[in-house]
Amino acid sequence: MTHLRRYASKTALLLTALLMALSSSLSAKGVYLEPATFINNVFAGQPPVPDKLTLSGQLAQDVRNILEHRYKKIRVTYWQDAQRTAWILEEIGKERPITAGFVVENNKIEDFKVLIFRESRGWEIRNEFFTRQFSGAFLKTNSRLNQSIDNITGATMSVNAMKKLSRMALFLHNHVITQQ
Amino acid sequence: MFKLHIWHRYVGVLSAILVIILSVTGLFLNFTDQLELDTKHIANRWLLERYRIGQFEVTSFQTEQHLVSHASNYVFLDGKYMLNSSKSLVGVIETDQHLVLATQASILLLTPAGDLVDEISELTGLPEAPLGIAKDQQGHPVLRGINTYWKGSAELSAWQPLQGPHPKWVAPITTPGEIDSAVQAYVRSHEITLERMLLDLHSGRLLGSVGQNIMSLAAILFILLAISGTIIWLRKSTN
Repeated sequence: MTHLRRYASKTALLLTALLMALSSSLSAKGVYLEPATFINNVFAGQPPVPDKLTLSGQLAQDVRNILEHRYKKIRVTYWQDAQRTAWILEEIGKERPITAGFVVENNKIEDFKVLIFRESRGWEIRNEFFTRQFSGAFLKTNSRLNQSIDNITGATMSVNAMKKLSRMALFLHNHVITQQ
Repeated sequence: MFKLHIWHRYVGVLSAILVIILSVTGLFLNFTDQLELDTKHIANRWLLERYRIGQFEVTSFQTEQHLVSHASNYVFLDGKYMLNSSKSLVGVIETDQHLVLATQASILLLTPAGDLVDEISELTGLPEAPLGIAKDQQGHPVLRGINTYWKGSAELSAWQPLQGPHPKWVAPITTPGEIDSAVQAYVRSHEITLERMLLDLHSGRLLGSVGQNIMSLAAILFILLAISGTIIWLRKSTN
């Protein structure tokens, strides 16, 4: 009887864990943070007027080298306050675009958040255990991140997309700052 | 004991077809990524009818050189897929340099060839969500807001309230037959992925509530089969 009770409680725990996993995966797609809220938070409610950066010539080629394809837009919007810039970028994980926000200061990533996730799998990249790995990352001379980012099983394509976008954000930040 | 044997045998045969369906679909679903089931779409008319996918509403706008259409989540240039937009179009104009698409939430700025230059939303400089779009006498884009009309610069990076006569707002036209057919065919064949269809076959949802009940009944039968099988085996080993 004691055995039965123990098995019953273990089964109940397992079922609860399964249900929690299922419910979290069901609610995985969607808007995690409105882009406007992200920008407001970054600049403490007083965002600067957005600037535009046109991806043409060598700059477009450099971005293409990072993403391994042309960026979906020819013009990229960013927000700048002194040496600090914020970027909202999109990249396809598997078949739908993931919208992510990056804050770069002194050529290092200060903050990174997944804002909108539209894929059916790979939503785990929204979690802090993943996003905090980018904190303090900067570009080496070969346009690679200075630190390694751990993969998430089952979310490889989303992870790769975010790694590419982080490199793009850092690269564009460096470009904007050096042009001024 | 004899009756349980008979019952077990018939239920086993009855369940076999469902076991095969569940096993085959389950096997395929386990290899979704490798088989790219989530990027392949079904175009079979009968299957699409199961999902009640029929005719889509196509909204079209004629510019000087192009016909821009929207249906479901897709935008088409002269009947060919151009880009995704979950928001409906409220108007399209053509300037000297760009094709300007106004959606319910933003402005999409494109090259004449259909490449996306920029998406301008309220976050990135649009004064308000557009209700309509037009060109003023100089050919500059004009947006219709709730209470204000806004005149945009050539690159749409700056907006100011419109002074002067109100422009004629762009209105949708009836989509020509051949464009409508092309758009319908594209959208119908890009709505349901093979993965979704297999999932629905696996759960029975493909046949609606009847299918779901059949699969639920099958699950109960499998449980009963496991129990009756164990009882029969125990009885045999005891004897």
